[in-house]
Amino acid sequence: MLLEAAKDKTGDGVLIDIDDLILGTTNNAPFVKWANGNFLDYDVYLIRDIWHAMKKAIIIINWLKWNNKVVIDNNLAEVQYTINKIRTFFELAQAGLQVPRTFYPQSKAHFQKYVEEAGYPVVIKSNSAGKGAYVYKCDDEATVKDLIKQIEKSGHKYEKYLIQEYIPYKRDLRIFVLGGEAVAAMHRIPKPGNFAANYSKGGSVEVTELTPTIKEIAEKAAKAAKAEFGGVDLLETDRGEYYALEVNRTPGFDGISKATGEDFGEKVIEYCIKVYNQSSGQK
Amino acid sequence: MKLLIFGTPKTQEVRWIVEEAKKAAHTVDAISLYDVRIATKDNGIELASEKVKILDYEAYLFRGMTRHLWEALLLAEWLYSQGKVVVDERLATKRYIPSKASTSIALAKEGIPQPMTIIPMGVNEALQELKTIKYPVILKDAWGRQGRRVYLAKSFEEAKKYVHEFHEARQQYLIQEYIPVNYDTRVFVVGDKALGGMKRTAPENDFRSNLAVGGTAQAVELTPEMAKLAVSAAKVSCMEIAGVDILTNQSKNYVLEVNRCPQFKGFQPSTGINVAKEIVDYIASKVANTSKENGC
Repeated sequence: MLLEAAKDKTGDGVLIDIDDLILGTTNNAPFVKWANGNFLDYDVYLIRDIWHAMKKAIIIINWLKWNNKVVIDNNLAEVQYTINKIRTFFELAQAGLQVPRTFYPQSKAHFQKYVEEAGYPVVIKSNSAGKGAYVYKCDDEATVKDLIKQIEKSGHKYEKYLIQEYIPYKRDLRIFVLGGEAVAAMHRIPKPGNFAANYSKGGSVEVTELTPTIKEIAEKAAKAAKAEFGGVDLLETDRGEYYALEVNRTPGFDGISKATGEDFGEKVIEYCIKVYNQSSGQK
Repeated sequence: MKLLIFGTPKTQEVRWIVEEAKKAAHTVDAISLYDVRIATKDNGIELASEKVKILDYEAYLFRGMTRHLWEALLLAEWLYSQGKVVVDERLATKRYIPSKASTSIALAKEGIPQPMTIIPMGVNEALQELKTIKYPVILKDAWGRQGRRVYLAKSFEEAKKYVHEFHEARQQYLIQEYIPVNYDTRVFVVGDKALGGMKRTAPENDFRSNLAVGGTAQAVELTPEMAKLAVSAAKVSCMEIAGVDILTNQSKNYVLEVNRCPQFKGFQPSTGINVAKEIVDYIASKVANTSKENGC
C-alpha cells in the first residue's frame, strides 16, 4: 500500500530489507554498503516493521540521521527501548493520562503479589509482543496459576509480562495520529470469544466519530509517546471515561482504510513529502 | 551529599564506593534494581522501594544494569526530571544503547582510530565480506561483556561457522580487524580525567586479555596521547565513568572498546589508584555544581 502510494506521488520508492545492508568503519570513518544500489540516494526514509531487528534498525536510523537524511521513524531511535510496551505505558501515565493500574513484575514473587493487588479479573500481557499476541484475561486464581505454569514451561521470564487492572469497557478505540494530529478513529469489535480486539486477530472495525475529547486524549498520548504517526488505543467505559492503553508506532492501515474508505498509505506518504519539503525549506 | 547506588550491593565495587562515601561523611545506600517497585498509580508513575525512600537522595549512580536496561532508563529519566544528579547523565538525557556497534560508529564519526569494523545485517552480506577479508579476523557479540562470545577465526570456514551461530541466536555481532598484539591497556576515565592505566596480557593460548578470561594485570604509566585518546573516546560515547580499552601496535593506538561503569576490582589493586574515591569525589563535585550545562 505504502510503496504503491510512494510511486504514485513521487515517481520513486523502494523497499529495503535491512538485512541487505552492511555498516562498518574503515580508516576511522563510517560506511554503509547496499548491494542493490546507493543506500544514500533517497530523500526520505520511512521505517516500518523492524521489530524483529530493533537493535540493527536503531543503528541504521542513527546513521541516516548523521547523514542529515529525513527519517520518519517515529522517534524510534530516541525511544529505542519501547520495544517494550510497558515503557509507553509509563510515558502515558507520566503525561497525566488515565491508564489502568499497571505493575511491572521482576520476579515470580512480584508477579504473584501484583496479581493480588490488581484484583480479579486481571489482565496479563507480554511486554513486547504486538498484534494482540500473549494477552490474557484471568478471572480467578486458578486461571493465573495455569498461566504461571505456562510461563514456566515456555521458559519466559516474569519480567516479560505486565500485570494490569481490568477495565470493563464499552468500546475499544483505535485513533490514527499523523503529524501530531488525530485524523481518524475506529472502534474494534473482537471476534466472538476473543478478548483482544486487534484487527489482525480477526476482529472487525467500524468508523467512530472523532469527538473533541477523543481527539485531545489521542493527540496527548501520541505526544507523550513521541510518535509522529501512530495508532493510539483507548478504552471507553460506560461512564464516558477514557483509558489510554497503547501507542502503536507502526500501525497497520488495512483496518482504518476499510473503515473510513480512505487510503491511509497515501496519507502517510503525503505526510512524508510534507516533512521532507519542510526540512529542505530549512536547509 | 546523599547518594543512592543502583547495582548489586554485594559486589566489591559497590562495597568500595559505599565505604569511600562514608569516609567522606556522605550519606550512601545501595539497592538492587530488583528492589524497585514499578507501577502506574493515579495517572502517574510509582517508583518505590521497601528498602529506601528513593527520592531522599541528591545523586544516583547506576552501576550494572544489563538485565534491567529499560527499568534503569525509566528510573534515570524520572529522577533527572525531579532535578536529581544522575550518573551517567546520558541514561536520562540521551538514549543509551550498550552495543559495541553503536560505540564503533560513534567513534568513527569523530575520527577516533579503531580497528576496521564491519556490522553486517544479514547472513549473505556477512559471508560476502568474509570472502574478501584478511585472516585471522575477530567476530564478536555486539552485546557481549567480559570477553564472552569473542572469537578469532583463522579461515573463512571457521568465520562462517560463527556467523551462523550468531544468526541462529539472533545476536548482533561485529567483524573486526585483528591487531596482532597479546595485550591491551585498560584506561579508567572518570569525568574528564584518565585516572591511570592497566596493561592486560592475554593468558597463554587465548587472544583475549579480559581479566574475566584469565588475563593478567599490571599497572602502566599512561602516555599523554593515550590519556587524551581515552578521555575523548569516553566523551564521544557520552560516558562519565568509563573503561576504555586501547590496543597499541607499531606505536599506533586503537580504541577497541568503551565500557560504561566498568568493574574495577582488578584495576584498583593492580594500579593502586583509589577508583572508588575518585567516583565518589566526582559525583560530589557534580552535586556541588548543580548546573547541568556540561551534560552530554
